[in-house]
Amino acid sequence: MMTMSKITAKLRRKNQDQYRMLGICILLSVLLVSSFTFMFFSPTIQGFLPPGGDTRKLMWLMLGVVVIGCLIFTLYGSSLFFRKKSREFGVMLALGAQKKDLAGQLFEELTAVAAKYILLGLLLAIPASWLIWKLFRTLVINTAQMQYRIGFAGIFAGILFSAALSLSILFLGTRFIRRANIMDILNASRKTEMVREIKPWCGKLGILLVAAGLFLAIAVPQFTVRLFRQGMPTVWNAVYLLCVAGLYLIILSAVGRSKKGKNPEKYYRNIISTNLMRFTARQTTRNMCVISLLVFVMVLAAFWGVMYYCNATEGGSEAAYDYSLHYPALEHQIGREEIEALAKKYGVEFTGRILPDEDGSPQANQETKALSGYEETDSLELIVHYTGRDMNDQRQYFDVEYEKLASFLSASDFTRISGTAVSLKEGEYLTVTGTGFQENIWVSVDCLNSIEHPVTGEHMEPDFCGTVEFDNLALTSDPFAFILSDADYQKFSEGLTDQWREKHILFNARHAQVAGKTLSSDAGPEQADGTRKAEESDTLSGKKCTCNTDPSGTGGLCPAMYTQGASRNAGPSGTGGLCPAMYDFADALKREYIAHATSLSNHYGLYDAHEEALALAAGEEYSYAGEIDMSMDNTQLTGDWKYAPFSKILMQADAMEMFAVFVLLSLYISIISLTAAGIMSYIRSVTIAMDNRLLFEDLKKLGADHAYEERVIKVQLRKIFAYPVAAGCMTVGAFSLFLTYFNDMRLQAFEAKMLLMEVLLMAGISGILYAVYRLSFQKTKQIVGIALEKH
Amino acid sequence: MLQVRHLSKSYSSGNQVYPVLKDVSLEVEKGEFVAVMGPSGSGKTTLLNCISCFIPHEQGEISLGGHDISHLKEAELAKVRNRQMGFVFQDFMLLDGLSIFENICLPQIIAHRPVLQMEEKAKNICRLFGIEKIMDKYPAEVSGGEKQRTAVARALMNQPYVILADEPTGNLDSKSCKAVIDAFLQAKKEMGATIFMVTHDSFAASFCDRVVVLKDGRIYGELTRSGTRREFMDELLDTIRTLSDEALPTRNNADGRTASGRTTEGQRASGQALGGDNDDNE
Repeated sequence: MMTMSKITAKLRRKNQDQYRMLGICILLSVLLVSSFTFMFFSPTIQGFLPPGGDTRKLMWLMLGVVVIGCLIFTLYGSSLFFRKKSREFGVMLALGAQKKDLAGQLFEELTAVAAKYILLGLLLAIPASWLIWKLFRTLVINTAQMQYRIGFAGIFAGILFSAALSLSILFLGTRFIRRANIMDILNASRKTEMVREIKPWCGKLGILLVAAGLFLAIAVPQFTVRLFRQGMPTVWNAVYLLCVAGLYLIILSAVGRSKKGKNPEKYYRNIISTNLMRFTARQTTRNMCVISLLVFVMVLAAFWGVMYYCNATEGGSEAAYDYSLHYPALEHQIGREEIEALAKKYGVEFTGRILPDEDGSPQANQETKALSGYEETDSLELIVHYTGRDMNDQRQYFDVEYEKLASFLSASDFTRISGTAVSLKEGEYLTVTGTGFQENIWVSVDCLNSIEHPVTGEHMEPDFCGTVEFDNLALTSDPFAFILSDADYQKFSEGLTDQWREKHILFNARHAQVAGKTLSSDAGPEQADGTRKAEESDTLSGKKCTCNTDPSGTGGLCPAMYTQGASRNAGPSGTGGLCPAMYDFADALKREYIAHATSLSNHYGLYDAHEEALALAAGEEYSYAGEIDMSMDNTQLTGDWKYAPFSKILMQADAMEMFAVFVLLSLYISIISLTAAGIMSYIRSVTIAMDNRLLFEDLKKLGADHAYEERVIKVQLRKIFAYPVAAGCMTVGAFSLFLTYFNDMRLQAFEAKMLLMEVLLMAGISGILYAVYRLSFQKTKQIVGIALEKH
Repeated sequence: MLQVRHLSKSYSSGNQVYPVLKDVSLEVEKGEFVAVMGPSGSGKTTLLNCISCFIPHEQGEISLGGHDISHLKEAELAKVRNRQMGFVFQDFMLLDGLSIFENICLPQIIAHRPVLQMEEKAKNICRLFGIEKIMDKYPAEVSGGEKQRTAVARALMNQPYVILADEPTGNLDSKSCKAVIDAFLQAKKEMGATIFMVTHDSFAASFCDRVVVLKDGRIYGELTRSGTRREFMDELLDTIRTLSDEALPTRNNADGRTASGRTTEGQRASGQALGGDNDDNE
């Protein structure tokens, strides 16, 4: 018996391809977003992201992008569904069906499809996120802390997205019905749109707008801060819209403009495909713009992952000492004997280090440049009065006079521990910076106005004598650590108890090898990169130690990768070689150091005892007061703790962990953007084929052979794929270049390397989209009947 | 049965307004088979779309079965379309996912008519149009003529006051064209159907009782069949020639006379000038 519901059910069965396509879009969207939220909101990832930090903000931003990307491609898929459905609707309306009846039927169908595929997507998101996590643990990082856990927030976010997606699709359905007009529906396939004449300057203006938008958004705020000490308001970011407008003009020009020019043969060869595009120019351009933006996000997400990692691992990698500890002199911390015992236990021994020249080769004068394996020194904690800068709510920068404690070393102590001879006269000081330090807006290296003895109150107004790079000290004092002449140091140390002193322990260590063959400075052949080759077996594990040997050609990655409680390890020389024993030693050292720490050192990173005293005296609350969680489980310990121990190997391991988390998330965003761009391009290609089926019939009647028709399709699809990818890649390339250059007004070698890496990423992404192009090409040929007729 | 009085319709593009129908009035009697012909851009399809209420018009009145249908609401219009009008489109507009039989049943399914009665009626109509053998096939499996006969059968399912056909033979070969015209004639004879057909095919129009000729949005003239079909076709072809001659720029055009010297406006036309295709979707 035939009823309306049976008829619609039959139509649904017959047109199941349309429903399946919509369903797959929903499934993919829910799967990608939910698996992302499962990971993003997992207690493990949340534990890694510092609260209120930039990384967390960036991740939220990326989550927003993921959600928008998925919404776009799903809504695009649903618009194709409605387009196909319109014929059915037109016939029904012409035969007298009521709009409200059709609406009810459509909502019923949409709800059924959405419910089915959303449920499937949510269920599949669990194994998908688990598999990706597992893959990361296998390929990138494998630590006890990287446990797969799903939090309720992740599931809730996935469900919330699914609900928003369903509502958006239903909204589109409502709009489709409300706008349904029989004439439009009946003529839908004949409907074309035409943009106004596209002026020759359109594309050039587009390029100019993109460049101007990027310059205004990235460079101008840096200039205003530097020149006028005025930051740009948040609304200034709206200048990015210039880039979007520029992108639109570039693509519009590419799509809609064609002229004979100097190559009339080419013009006539492509005349059909060019004109096909021109007839749907507005729609095609809009579509391509979205794909361009997706390409932009996709490359940027991947690039940021790489950049973040490089920044993280660069910090401290240039330090002269692989390990450095600093703590209040009153605290009974771990000492040389205990460190040596620990080193012995892990088969590690202190080793000297030859400082390389600037060109990387060992220095000729080894007597002055050789560092001993282990050094200790004291620093004075003196009150400094300096001028720094702060920013008000109007984003205006203004000078602030600060008064707080900072670390001071004597010139001779510094020469001893750093191997860099410094000599200062009385009344002079040097500022210690990290390697490659670039001045920022907040404080300058010559900021000191005066130094005050914390007990006697004696003042000195020192003369700035320059800076000296030494990463191990630069990390221990805010705004900087300073060096005084021996005489001044002696003068200020008089009357100072241990309350105003800090101890510093610095050492280098390497994994000892069997049979007394060690990797000390006088043993073993040195490789070109300054590292030494280990040829003996690892005494601890019984396995061949692969430190610095890189037998697998994997770029220094250790095949004996840690599986329990450890990350991949940086080698003893910090070159990226890996050694499990070294990691164990660093980990044990950190554990011991924490065990020895008392309330004397239990302070936040920016805590300052003098500032606290001033605040309390003024009856104000001191914001950096309070204790931190001094435990191995605290993933934020390095950032939070004023006296956090430094070791290159752990720092790189931490960076690797953060990198893994970041790459995991940013790669996911890339995958989502890529999926969205691929689906949109594919759908666009299919739509073009469907819309122009009659045109291909006409071409046949005009005597066009298969080769000609194939060419028409190919030229058109090539544009659909190539233009947005090219526009997106060029924009993201310019964006990255501007961002890296204007950040500190220079382009460092590693930044140039990263930009090159970005180009490689672009090439990879283009390759994947090329595969989608081939797929679309085959499908398009099938639709217009070329593929079938050939058989 | 169908009355159109002082109908005017124009399209606008930017600031430009293009009048398409100018004060058109016509009437179709019950059981009459009327064709509308005219050159491209004369307003044939626009007239049909206005009568179908697919597009609104600015002035005039359209009544069907004695009721004004010009100002009906969406829901009322849907009922009129379902029960009082039947449509036949140039490109058939059959649903590919439904069989021929199901497509024919669709108007009654939409109207929630009793199933047994509906199926019985659909079978009878299939028999009448000689498509009972293809009842279980799908549109993709049958010929163009069979598709259009299916569309005619579908249009007749609810016994509408009028069948509105837009270039029903436009996509068909001569054999299929004849089969479709036969279907219309059969519907008129057996079921008393009233048919209003827009066409540029003089062969198809020659089977009609009356042909209304449109030119530049106005009724140019009417031809009523009195003799044989062949004689009627000759008359139509004469009118075509006259209209074609008028389209040529001559000195005489200035005073409203044709190249052959005959007065056209207000007179009964004797033929038509045909555009190449159905392109008056102004």
